[in-house]
Amino acid sequence: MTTTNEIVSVRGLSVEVASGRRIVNDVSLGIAPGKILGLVGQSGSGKTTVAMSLLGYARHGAHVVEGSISVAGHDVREMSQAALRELRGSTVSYVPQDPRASLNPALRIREQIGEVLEFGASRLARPARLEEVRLSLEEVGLPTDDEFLGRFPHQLSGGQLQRVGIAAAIAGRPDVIVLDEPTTGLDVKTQRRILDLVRHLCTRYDIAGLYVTHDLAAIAQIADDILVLNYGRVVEHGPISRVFRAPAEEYTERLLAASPDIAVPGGGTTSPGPEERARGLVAHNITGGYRRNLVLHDVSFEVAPGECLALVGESGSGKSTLSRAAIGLHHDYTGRFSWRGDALSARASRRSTQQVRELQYIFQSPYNALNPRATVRESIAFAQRVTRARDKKGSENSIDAALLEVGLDPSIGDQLPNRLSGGERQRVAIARALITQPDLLICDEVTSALDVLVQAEIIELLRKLRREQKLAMLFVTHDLALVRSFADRVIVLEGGSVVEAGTTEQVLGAPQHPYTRSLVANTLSIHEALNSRDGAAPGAVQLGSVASAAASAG
Amino acid sequence: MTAIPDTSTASVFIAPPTRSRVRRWLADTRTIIGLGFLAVVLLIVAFGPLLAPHSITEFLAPPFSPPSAEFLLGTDYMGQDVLSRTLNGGWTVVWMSATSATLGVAVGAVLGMLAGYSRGFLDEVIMRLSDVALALPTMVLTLLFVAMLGRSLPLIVLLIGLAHAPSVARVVRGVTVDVAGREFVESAQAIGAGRLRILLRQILPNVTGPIMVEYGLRTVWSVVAIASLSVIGQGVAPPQADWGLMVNENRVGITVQPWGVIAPLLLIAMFAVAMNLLAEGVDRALQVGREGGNQ
Repeated sequence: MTTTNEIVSVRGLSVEVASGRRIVNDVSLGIAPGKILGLVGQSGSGKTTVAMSLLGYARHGAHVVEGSISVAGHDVREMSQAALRELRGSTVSYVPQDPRASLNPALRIREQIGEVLEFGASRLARPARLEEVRLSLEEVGLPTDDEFLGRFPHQLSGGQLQRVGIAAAIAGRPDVIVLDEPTTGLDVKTQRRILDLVRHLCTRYDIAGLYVTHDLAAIAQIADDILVLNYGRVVEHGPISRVFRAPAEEYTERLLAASPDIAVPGGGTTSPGPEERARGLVAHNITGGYRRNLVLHDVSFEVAPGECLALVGESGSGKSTLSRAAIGLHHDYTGRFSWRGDALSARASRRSTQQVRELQYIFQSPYNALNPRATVRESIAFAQRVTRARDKKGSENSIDAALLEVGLDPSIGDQLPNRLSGGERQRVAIARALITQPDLLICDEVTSALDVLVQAEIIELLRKLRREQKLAMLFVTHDLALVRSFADRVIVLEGGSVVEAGTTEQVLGAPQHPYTRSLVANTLSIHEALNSRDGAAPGAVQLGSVASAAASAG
Repeated sequence: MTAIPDTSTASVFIAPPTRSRVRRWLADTRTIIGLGFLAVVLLIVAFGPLLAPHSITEFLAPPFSPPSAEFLLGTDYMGQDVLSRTLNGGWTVVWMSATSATLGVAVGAVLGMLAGYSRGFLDEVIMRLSDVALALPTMVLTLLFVAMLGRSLPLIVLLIGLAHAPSVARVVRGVTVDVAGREFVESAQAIGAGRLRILLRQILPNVTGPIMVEYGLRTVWSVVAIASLSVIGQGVAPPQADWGLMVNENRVGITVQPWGVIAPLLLIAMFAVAMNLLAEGVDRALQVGREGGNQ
């Protein structure tokens, strides 16, 4: 941890917001050249605030009250704004979370990267600049021809954009690079390639990296040391292998326990018979999409009563379109859905009240799924009234019961959604679905917007509902690790077609189709990462594969 | 980043429950100021005629006499008492502008929500018709109708109200399109809720902001429109007292005797500001809890 050759050294850092509340409290860290420190924490833990302090930046209203920040021999706290501008980009650079939002849509790739070299300590003349831009692009495995340099951000894929972000960050040959969740929102293959690339660049150019994330598997893959933050305080700090194998703190243990791992078996191994399946939700040869753009090709599946079927695929595989069609929100398809042997109308409004009650849908974003102007109770009562789902005890009672069922206090009913946390909102959304006493829940990426611990809680809640209410589930997700521990059976969608189907253990334990195999192989696993660390010499991640992988990245 | 502890099961709430939106509306200082202004205007409208010291049609002194003990606000362009005329002249402009603004905003909001939520054919029909309506000059059209059907204040209210509807519809449609794409609306669709139910319960509460701002604006515009009609002799006819009319009648003497303009103008302004404050207050009361909103 504390070594003499640290290039980044933060001691006793405390940050306060205007109200006097400390959002970062006595945080110390150090990073040696060529090493990567993983900074882990949930939203609100202060991890971004700590990371940004290396660039001498505090978000509006926040300011550093105590501690020292030293980067490559500069005392960041003592520097003027002008000196900080010199520092940023040349000594410390930054890779933001969402490259689509951080790149200027009106600038060509050439200018995006070249901008770094126009100002600051690393400023260069125009011809030399262009040469450096090409070098940086080559470094991150992107084309270097004029055609590519002349493209605009919207003409690039998410993975390519993140590479451009990294190219811009390394163009000034910085000593330190700060990465803020750079792989969030990328699919698994691209994520793995970006991680390998960052690791490779840091090792090769002796860049000290600070990698901010909530994803422990990513940390296990890329970092040398880990620092766990919670409510602005350091929970644990140490080398990856030590902290992951033998966490000293209970909080770290909980984080680890809450992170699903694809390498750990635990999914379903049995498959219900054909008669059993026909009594549940059945999709018959669904082909459809948006006008002429077909995104689903002849997809069929069955969900037996009480069973959990995972619908797995990357973004653009058509899994959301399929689940929306099943609930009657997407109508543009041929083929049909049936429930308990009866055909389901393509439109939810034409389905019988009973069908609507029995099939319920939970949305991805808990922040959008609740009417911001309606109290929790009003939202649930609305669903109750529309579906005429009233029990004899009267409505108030059953709304309270639904809230208790999902682990919320009924007093929460009078709150508007903006007073609730993400996890609470998702629980309310589940309670709203439960009020109709459904038999099948369609869950569309229900945990992807939530923190690890909250995600584990929601999964635990869904498990309980399956156990106690014999709820069947169509579980739509891109997260294979989660599927392994949760689903009975899996179907894998690629480009709108089913490429593999079977029990969870068959599909994830021994994938047959090349697409499934690559998905499984690229899904990050803490266990695998730790095992491969033991095999390889410290710090030496297989670099040979990086250049070729990077070159073929989309 | 704000530290929101996700305790999920046992949350502590500092905020009061959302039980009483009316109480919260009333707790807002701006609402109180609005109510105060409106009260002054309405009291004058209601009791002014009883308090007026002079006749409103008699020529009592030379035109544009400055304020004196007998004529507290002086006299107007015809030598009539400004105070008496001001106390008498509120009723028409207040009821006409409030009614036409309400009518215009109601019709516009319904059309806008319908267009924005339904999209497709209905959207096209409503919006193209509103484009056509917007292209027609309101005043000329109003005069045309008044000329054809005879001068009648309810007709003017109707015409001005309907003239507001297309632009209100345009604004409301824009917000509705945004709201209609959000997941809570889809969640209502997924349980088979009908269009009317979704419009009233899910969309309407989320588009009240722009509707209320429009309401405030449209009231002011109505005042202007009605006053303008009075000038050209199509609204309130001259010997009668009317704030809008007074402003125009006494404009010429503003340097000699400004009170003939200031008094009615002040009351019109108070009325307009009151309507704006109250309308925006309604929106704030509905969105309490959002950052930057009401405490």
